[in-house]
Order: sequence, then structure tokens, then C-alpha cells
Amino acid sequence: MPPRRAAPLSDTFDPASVAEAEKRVRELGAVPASKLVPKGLTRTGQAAFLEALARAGLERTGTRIRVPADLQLVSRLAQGPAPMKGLAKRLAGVTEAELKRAVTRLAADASILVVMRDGKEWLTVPTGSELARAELESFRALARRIAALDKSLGAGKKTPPRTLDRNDVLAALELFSGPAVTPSNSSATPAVRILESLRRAADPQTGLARVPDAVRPVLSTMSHEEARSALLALDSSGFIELRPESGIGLLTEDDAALCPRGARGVVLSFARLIDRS
Amino acid sequence: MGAVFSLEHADPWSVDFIDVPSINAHASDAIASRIEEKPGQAHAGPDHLRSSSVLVLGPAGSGKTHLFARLRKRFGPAASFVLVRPEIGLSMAPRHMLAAIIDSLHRRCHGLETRQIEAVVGSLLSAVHQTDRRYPMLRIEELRNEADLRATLEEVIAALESRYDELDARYLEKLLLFPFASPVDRRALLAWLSGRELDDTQLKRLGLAGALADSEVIPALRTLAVAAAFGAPIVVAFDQLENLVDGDDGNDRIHAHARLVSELFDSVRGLVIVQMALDAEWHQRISPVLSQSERDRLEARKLALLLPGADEREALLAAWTDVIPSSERKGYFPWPFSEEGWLEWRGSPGVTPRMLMIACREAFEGKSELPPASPHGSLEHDTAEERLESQWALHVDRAKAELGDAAAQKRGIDRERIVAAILCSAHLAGIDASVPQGRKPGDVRLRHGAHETLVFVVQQPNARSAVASLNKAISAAAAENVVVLRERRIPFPATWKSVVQPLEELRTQSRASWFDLDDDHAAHLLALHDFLSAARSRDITDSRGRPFEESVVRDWAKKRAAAARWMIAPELVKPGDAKAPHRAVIPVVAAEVAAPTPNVLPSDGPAWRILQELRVASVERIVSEVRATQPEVSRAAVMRELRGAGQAIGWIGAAIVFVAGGTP
Repeated sequence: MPPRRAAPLSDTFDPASVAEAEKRVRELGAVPASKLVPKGLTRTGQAAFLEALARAGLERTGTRIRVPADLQLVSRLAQGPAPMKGLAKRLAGVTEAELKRAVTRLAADASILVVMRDGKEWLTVPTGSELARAELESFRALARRIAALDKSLGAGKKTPPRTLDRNDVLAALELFSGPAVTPSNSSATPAVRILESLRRAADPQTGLARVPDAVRPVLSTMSHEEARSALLALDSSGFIELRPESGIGLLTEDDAALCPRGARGVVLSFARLIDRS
Repeated sequence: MGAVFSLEHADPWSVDFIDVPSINAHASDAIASRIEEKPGQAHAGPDHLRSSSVLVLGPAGSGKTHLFARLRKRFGPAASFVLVRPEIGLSMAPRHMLAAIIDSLHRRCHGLETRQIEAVVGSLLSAVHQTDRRYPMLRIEELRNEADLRATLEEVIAALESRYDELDARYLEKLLLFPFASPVDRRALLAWLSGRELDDTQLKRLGLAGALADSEVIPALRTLAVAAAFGAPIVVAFDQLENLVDGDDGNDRIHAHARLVSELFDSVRGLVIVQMALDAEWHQRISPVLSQSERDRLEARKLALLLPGADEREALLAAWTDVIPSSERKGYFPWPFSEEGWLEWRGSPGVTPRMLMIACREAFEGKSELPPASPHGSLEHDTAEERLESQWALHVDRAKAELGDAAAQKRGIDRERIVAAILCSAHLAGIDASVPQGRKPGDVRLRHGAHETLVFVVQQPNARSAVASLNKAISAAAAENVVVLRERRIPFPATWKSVVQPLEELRTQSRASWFDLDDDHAAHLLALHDFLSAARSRDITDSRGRPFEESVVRDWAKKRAAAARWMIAPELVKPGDAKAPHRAVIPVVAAEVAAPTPNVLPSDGPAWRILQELRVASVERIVSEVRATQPEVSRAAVMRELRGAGQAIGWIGAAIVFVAGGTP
């Protein structure tokens, strides 16, 4: 029996095999590269095949081809919040260190949030129930105020028992505007209502919101003048940065009437939410 | 001494500007980190090297262009910076992109004599040979003395090719040769590397058959980006993207830009793509028309430029006033403001660096220090006129400098640039102008009332391509009015025999005419294009820093252009009008067809006197000699004298004249 001759190696591969491999990786999350590369390819052919998978948006680790870690993470969080601890094991082909880097990257532009619950880190995509930066600031102010009130009681042996005025405590609690703030809550101040409206209108990456888009929904609860004053107050207290109009013929007279004026009468038609962390 | 307060429009290529690094440090750091990671990725191999994209948004005067200048200063020769601004009415193709990149690479690195293209090559050679890539020119100087330079460069090409399959070895070879080439070869190499056409002499010198083919442009971009990524990564900054918005003409140019950026992002490795636009224009006009896949790429990372806070405003004021000698300052901080005035400016909302600088200038000039809260009011008409006039003059100067650069490289202005300028001037004159789409002939179609003209811009430096364009113009002239336009300073050389026949044929076409675009036309048309682009980007400002409305600038430009001789669009649209002041006769090239008709002219004119001394000379030499002694004499007058000299002067082509005998 003549010896079996090995089939000659080739540089080229069937493009359909790339689509098939991509489908397999997307189904499983990660697959060893050796199980994806078709047989009979030269080293150049193998490199070209892996390059084609990279062009399809897949990531190559040392030995595996996987759906990018960022994408896996965001897809997982889209199903609901997850504790940071142990999450790497539930993602395909992602190490603990890679997960941490992905979290740092995505949290930097607020694509995902790290929420502390019972002293543990939970990850979530923004759902609206997490405290915004400004609300955290209010919360810290509240904590400081309550600590100060508590300290003022200063119960010592030689001092008579002390108590607090109910109005002072309520005033302190008002410092935290987070959970009570909704547009329908008419007891919230105009500034708080506008801030919330700006948050809803803002671009998640840049924090930029168009002022008329944020003011119009809350006009039923305040006048134009109140809205403009509230915007200026938010700017001066560092919650937002008001910015001059930069469009060409984009601002109607009605819209301009909703915007405050800045230096030399410039119309301030955009606001940027300030990260106060 | 108050010149520092007049720099409210950042010059992206400036080497001498004032910077407060903390302002928008987040944006410069984000871009810098992407630049810094490229050499490591390039060394790690193709699996690791990717292009990055950052979108920077901010209102006018917030420092977008300043960011570019700051990064140039920060990186010096360690990165290569390319600034691209969209042409009005035209979409940018990959070839145009390649030309823009090479043009920018030919600029000098910040504060150095080294050109960016030399830094790219030097850094690459240093990286491959594992020497210190901080000093790219050192490696080039070392190799300059090497006996077998070609072999060394071949090794570099082989080393790169073995790792990056997509490289075009021929393009890489020409790129690597650039720093070692003679000045003449450098011009030719630059033209070829930029995807432009070369003349026959240049092709012979380089041993090439022709310019880069369309199919070679993307591989050339890939090669350039990978080569640069090793030591001086290319940062492509698309500025003034609001100019992609085309009024009522649809969103074609926005999508064309998105396709180009997507292609660069997906298929070219190692670029850092920075897009800069006005925030409102991007959010309301550009982003909404992008498809999801386009948005994923163009808005992969969005950054808003921040306005300076109170402390940063103080830092800005201190930095500006620091450069004024203490002996010339009239007070301490916050001079030139009063204490009260400064407190208002310090806390006023929505203040951009540009607005603050202009307030400084007003306070410095002793104009009444208006508090920021005071309404803008209407400017005096004269003041507005003066501001527009001075900014127009600035644009004309820049356009003249651009023409000077092209002249130094002995090439014409790019066809696309001239087409965009004609489109712009036609729209301003109320003439319907469009670019023929698909494979239809011509560069610009102009329509006005009953008149319609097809304009061919024949700027080619190569006889073959010029003939091809002329033939298309001849075919078109059989059916409609045609104008063929070429810059006057790049006449067809006498050696281009193949052009004679089509020019003769063109002359027989009653509906064809020729237009000589002289430097004055070109400079003003380019300036008009850039001036109107700047108006759209809110960069044409009144004396208080407030942008003029685009309609105001257009109206002013319309008035300014109405009587100007450089406003050529109305003239182009009415061909056949022999009395048109700039319409030229179709030129002659070869001596045998050049038969100037005798004319009655001064027999002892200045041109004739100079030619008698020189016996044989180029027309340009005679023009310059005449103007050296009589500056008031125009080039046209010299040409009239020469053409009217009859048998006394012999012609070789259209560029050389000699004394043939007799008297004029």
C-alpha cells in the first residue's frame, strides 16, 4: 500500500468559514483559536483567517477568540445588575484583571455604573435608580450636616441633656434632593426640577443637554423667568455649565426665550452636567 | 504690546502661542493617550494595532483648534499632525485625504526644522534598528553616510512586510527614500506620495509609469499609517465639520464623511482620528442623520470641551499679561481690568476663552469697560465693516501663502480646491452650481437664467492627463458651452507636443473658450471659500467676540465681490462673451502654431528692450525684469507687447521668446 500523502497546504480559505467561525464564537462567547482555524492552511493562511475574525469585531487573547470583553459585560448587565465579585467567571474567556480594566473603561464614560450595596460592589447599566453625581453631593452634604447636628448634642456628664429642633432636622434632610426629585413632585424647587430634566435630556457621554429641551417639560410648574433664574443658579453653584449657542439658525425665538443670557447678552442654549465627584 | 490680545483665532500651526494646560486637559490627555499607545501596539503586531476615533465638541471659541496646536507642541516629532477641513460643496475622497495627509506631513514639527515626514521616516528607522527614536533626524544623518543605503532600506521594508501583510512595498520604499532625496526628487516624491499626478520628467526621475491608481490609494494610506505608528503616529484632525451641512442639498456630504472615517477606522491601522465640530451643529444636524453603524464609529468616544472656570479664567488672564513686559504694564492683576470689572467677568456664565480675550483687549485699549452683563447692542456699522474687512484680509493673506507653497513645489493648486472655490463663488453670485455626478464629464456645471456652462479645470501637470481632459472638453463643446480653466502660472510647457492637437481642435469649437486663472483670481477665490467656511464655523467675529451671523457675512462678501475682478463665476457662466475682461484666447504651445498677429504697439516697449539684451528668454523672466524697473506695468501689458511684436519676436511654445530679426 503506497504511503498516504499529506494534502498540500494553502494560503487561502473559504470566506464562509470565517462567518461560520464568527457565529460559533458569538454563540459561545469564546472558543480556542485552534478549534476555529480550518485545517490545511499555511501559517500565512492561518494569520489571515484570524485577521478576518478580528475585522469581524472579535478579540484574540493568547489562545482564544472571544466576543470583546466590554461587549460581553454590557450585554450581561443589560439583563440586570450583577455583583462584581465572581462576575468574570460568568463571562466567556475573560480574566479577573481584564474585567477590572473593562469596568474602569466603561465606568469612565458612564456606560456602566459601580453601585455600592451593603458594602459590596455591584455593576449595572444606568437605570435611573442610581444616585447621580449631584445627588451624591447632596447626600454627602446631608451626612455632614447630620453628623454636625449629632455632634452638637455633645452629651457629657456635666451638661444637661440636649435635643434638636425638628425644623433644623427637616431642613437638613432637605439637603438631600435625590429620591424625592421627580418632575411631578411640585414641592421640589425649580432648580432641582430643571436639573432632573437636564439629566434626562443629556447626552450620556458628554453630559450636554439642550436647554430648551430640558426647560419645556417643566414649564407647567414654573414661569420662564423662574426657569432662567434656576439655570443661572445651577451654573453658579457648580451643578451645570451653561454654554453659548453655537448653531447656525438652529435656535427659534421661542427656544431662545427659554434660555438665560450670558456675557454681552449671549444666549446660553446648552448646559453640561458637571461631574462633581 | 497688546498683540497678545488679538490672537482670538487660534492658528493650528502656530509655534508661539499661550497655553494654560489645565484647561481641557481631559481632552488633550484622552487624545494623547491614544497617540502614546500606538508605537507599543505597532511593535506588538497587527493584532494589536488599531485606529482610534475621538469626537471633540464645543461652542465657537472654546479651543478646538487650540487643542490641535497644544498637542503639536506636546508631541513635537513624536507624532505627526494632519489638519483637514471639508471643502464646501465637495465630498472628501480617499485620494483627497491622502493628499491632505502628505501636505500636512510636509510641514515642520513644532519648533523644529525637521519636517513631519522626515520624523515619520526617522522614527520608523530608529524603531526598526532599535535606536533612540526621540531623535529621528540622527538616524537619518547616520544612514545618509551609509554606503549601501538602498540595501538598508530594503531590509527595513522586508522587516515590516513580514509583519504587516497590508503594506504596499513600493509606496513604503518611496516614503523611506524621501529624506535622502535631492530637492528636485523630493518634489516629485511628494507629488507621487500624495496621489497627485506627476509630469513626465518627474516620472522619469522616479522610474515610475504614472501616478497612484485609484486602487492603490487605500493601500497607500494603510502603509503610511502603519509606518508612522512605530514612532510618530498620524493624528488626523477633521476640523470645522459643521461645514458638511449643505443647507437644502441633502445629507450626501455628511454620509460621505462618515463613510471615509469608517473606512479609515476599519481598514487603516494606527491612525488617531480626531473630529472637531460645533456642539449644537453636531447634535442637531449631523448626528441625527447618521446611521447606527456610522454613529458607532464616529461617536465611539465623544468629548465636550469645557469652558474655563473662575480659576482657569484667572490663569488665562495671568498667562496673557505675563508676556507683556512689566515696564509696559499699567497695573497689577487683574489689569487691564478693574477689580469690579474682573469680578464680573470671573463669575459670568458661558464665557469662552475667546470672549475673555476680547474683553481683555477692550479693557487694554481703554475702551469703556463694559460689564459682561450688559447687552451686546448693535455695533456701529463702520466697526462691523472694519472687522469683516480685516478678517477678509487675513484670509486673503493665508490663501496667498497657500499659493506660495504650491509655487515652491512647482505645482498648481489642487483641482478639488479650485472646484470648491468656484462652487462657493457661484452660490454667492446667485448662480446655480453643481458638480457633475458619476462618470459625466466636467468639473462644475453653472446655470444662470438661459445660460449654462460646463467648466473643466485642467490643472494636470502631466500631458497625457491634460490631453484626456481637453478631449472630454472638446466632446462636450459639440453640444454645449464649455470653459476650460487653468492657472496662468502653470502654462502648458513647450515640450507637451501632444497638447497641440487638442488645443487646435478646441479652438475650432465655437462653444469652447479658455480661462486663465491668475494668482489674484485664485487667491481671492480660495480666500472666499475659507472665509465663508469660517463664517459657518462661527469664527468670523465682531469686535466683542460675538460671531457674525452667517447671513451677515455672506451679504458682506456678496457686496465685496460684486465689483471685484476675481469674481469669475458670472463670467464663466456666459461663455462666448468675447468682451469679458479675463477671457483668454486658447493658448498655443508649439512654435509652428504660434503665430502672433502683428499689432500696432510701441516699437520701443520695455519688454522689447529687455529681450534685445537677453536675445532669448522665458516670458516669466521678461515679466519679472520689466516689473523690477517698472512695478506698475502689469503682466498682461507685457504679454500684449510681446504678442503684438509680430515677426520681430519668435516663439518657442507659449513660454519662451527670442529675437527673430526686424523691429516690432
